[in-house]
Amino acid sequence: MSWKHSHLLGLRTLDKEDLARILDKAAYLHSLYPDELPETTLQKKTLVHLFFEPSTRTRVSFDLAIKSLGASSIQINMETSSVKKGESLYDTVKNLEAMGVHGFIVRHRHGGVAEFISKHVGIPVINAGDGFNEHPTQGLLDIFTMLQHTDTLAGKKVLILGDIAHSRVARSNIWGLTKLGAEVFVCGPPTLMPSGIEQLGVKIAPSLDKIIPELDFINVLRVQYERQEVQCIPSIREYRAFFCLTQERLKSAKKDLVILHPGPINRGIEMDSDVVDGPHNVILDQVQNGIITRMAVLSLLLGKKS
Amino acid sequence: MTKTVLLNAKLIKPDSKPPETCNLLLANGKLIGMGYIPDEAEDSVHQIDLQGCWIVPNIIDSFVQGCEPGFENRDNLDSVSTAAASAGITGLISSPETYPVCDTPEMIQFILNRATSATLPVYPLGGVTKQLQGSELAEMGLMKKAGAVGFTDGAAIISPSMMQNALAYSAMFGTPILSRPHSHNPEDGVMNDGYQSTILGLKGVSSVIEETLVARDIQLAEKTGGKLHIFPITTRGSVKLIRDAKQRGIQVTCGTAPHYLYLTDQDLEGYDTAKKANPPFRTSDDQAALIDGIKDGTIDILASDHQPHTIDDKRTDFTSAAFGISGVDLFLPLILNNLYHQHKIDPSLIFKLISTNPARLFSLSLPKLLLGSAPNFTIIDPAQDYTVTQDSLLSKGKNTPFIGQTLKGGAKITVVNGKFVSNVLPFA
Repeated sequence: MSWKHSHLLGLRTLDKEDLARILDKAAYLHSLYPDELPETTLQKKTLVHLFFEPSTRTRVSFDLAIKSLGASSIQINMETSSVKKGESLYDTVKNLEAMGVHGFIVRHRHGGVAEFISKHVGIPVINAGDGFNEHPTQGLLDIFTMLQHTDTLAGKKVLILGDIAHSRVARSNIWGLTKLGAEVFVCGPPTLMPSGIEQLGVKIAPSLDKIIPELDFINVLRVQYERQEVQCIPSIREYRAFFCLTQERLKSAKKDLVILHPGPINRGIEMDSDVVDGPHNVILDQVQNGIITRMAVLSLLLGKKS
Repeated sequence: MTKTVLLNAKLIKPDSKPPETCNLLLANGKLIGMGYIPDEAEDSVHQIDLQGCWIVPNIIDSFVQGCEPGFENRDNLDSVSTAAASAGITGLISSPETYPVCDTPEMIQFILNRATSATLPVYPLGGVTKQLQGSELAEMGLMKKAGAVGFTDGAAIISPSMMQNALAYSAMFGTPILSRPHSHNPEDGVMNDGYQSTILGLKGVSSVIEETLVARDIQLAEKTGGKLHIFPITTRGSVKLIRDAKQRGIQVTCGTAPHYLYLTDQDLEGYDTAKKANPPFRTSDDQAALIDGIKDGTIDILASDHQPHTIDDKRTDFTSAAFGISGVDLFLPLILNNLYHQHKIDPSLIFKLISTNPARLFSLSLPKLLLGSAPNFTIIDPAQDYTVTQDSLLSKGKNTPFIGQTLKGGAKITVVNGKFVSNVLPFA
């Protein structure tokens, strides 16, 4: 089974076998992590972080993955780069490519930016989040984390909770999970539910309280004020009343329910602090798995073809 | 004296009378004979055989960004008028979205002066409000006296009371207000809202937003008696609202642009910025409603909505890219390929949408061929195939999603004020 993609732009365009290939690679790397990792897979390769939007964990996670594989990375601070002088996105990436770098890791507030760059350069582009389109490595690390708690996702019930409309994490989860056979539900205020979401093969859960007892996994999304041009929820207090994961709500949950969150968490808004710190959550596992799955992606895209 | 005779073409009459073969004899920029049978011995007559072609008087493209002054890097009045003439158009109505904006009688005069060197007559629209900002009425009466044929702000006037005043005030002059039922703000959405916007992760603008503005403007036109023209409409709901309003006797007309008959939101897969239009491409169901609206007369006008852009305006990500499609070059091929060949719509109805109807609405001279006049007309070859290439587009704006496509039907000869301004097929 060979790896046939030049870029990782999203999980929508991958098939089940592609997902299995990445997840197998990640499982292998996880078995070696951290002491036995092969540190020369990407020797002499240089990757550029093109982050047009703030990020802590994704950027650090990619950087650790790059360094663990023996490659080097360049961080571009958009505040001090020529983008600030009005250079177009096209010229920025063409110039960096001409310097001989080997790949781009791209984050931008607009959907389709990674795909745009991939059409104009001849080196791999990894999407690290584009608007509310996709965040494929987050989707992969979420799935990888879920698979540490079950042998298969087929038939498992997964709820994605919160602001679905503005969430690239939701979309990448939905594409990946549905391809692996999970039964995916979404729940959130109607103003944060995108049009035609059911056509992606998910069901809208009208009530959080009613769906909780059935679930195997909940992936809780951050409430993203910065992406709402028009007000979508009246107040935090009101959001909490209907959509916050609280100990009270989780009383009806299965004992082995697993709760994920892509971070950063707004404690007390989408999830209460005692739930964040409680037994169901695997948030810190997700963080470590992020490095592993990103290593898997990097080595498939940039490593020697096996 | 050079005489030219155009033989064997059929004159299309917008009043549904069957087209008749009509030989036109031109000399010194005047139409001096109709139905003329040439004397073969007369050597000084240049004969052009146009078997299978149509003669159509006064084709108007009633919404064009001339880009001048201020945006000459995108297009200018010389280039857009030459491109339009070559494509068979004999008159342009220009948008006030220039820099500075066209919102005073002085600016109307500037456009008219500037257009004297253009290949075609250019009829300017003025702003409804100062700076097109929607907060203070512009001098519509003085602009009309200076030569404005209508008024628009280029985007929706957000305040209903301002729109009400604009319609009420302009009713005094009988000059239409052209309302565009959408905003120019990408934050309001960059494509049609639906499944496709969800899976592309792009901000969608729903068809209901357009329809809400259409419904509001219809109510305001009814209340004020103002002359309302809504352009471009793109949704099934808008067609229905306008059809119902016309049945209620309200003074409203509407139009759409040919590209809305071709592309849907499904075509945005791959984020091709050449397909970023405002309003956005909708669904095949909306397209079917637009065709019905054309057939039953609900839709009065087709205009190219020519919005030329530079390569840099479009060579970026979809959200950052400029809205708009360059339209004059392909105006007739797109219309003929779709309405005549695909939907078998009668040519007399098709040409009403781009000659008689815009002439009536904007009070221009009606499309007639009169003996002794310096005529405007186009010879159309409905059977000619054109393959669209970058080089075939004469407008400075090459931003069209139709590059590489083959379209059937287009202009062969364009005559403006009795002069042959184009006598080659643009893409042959």
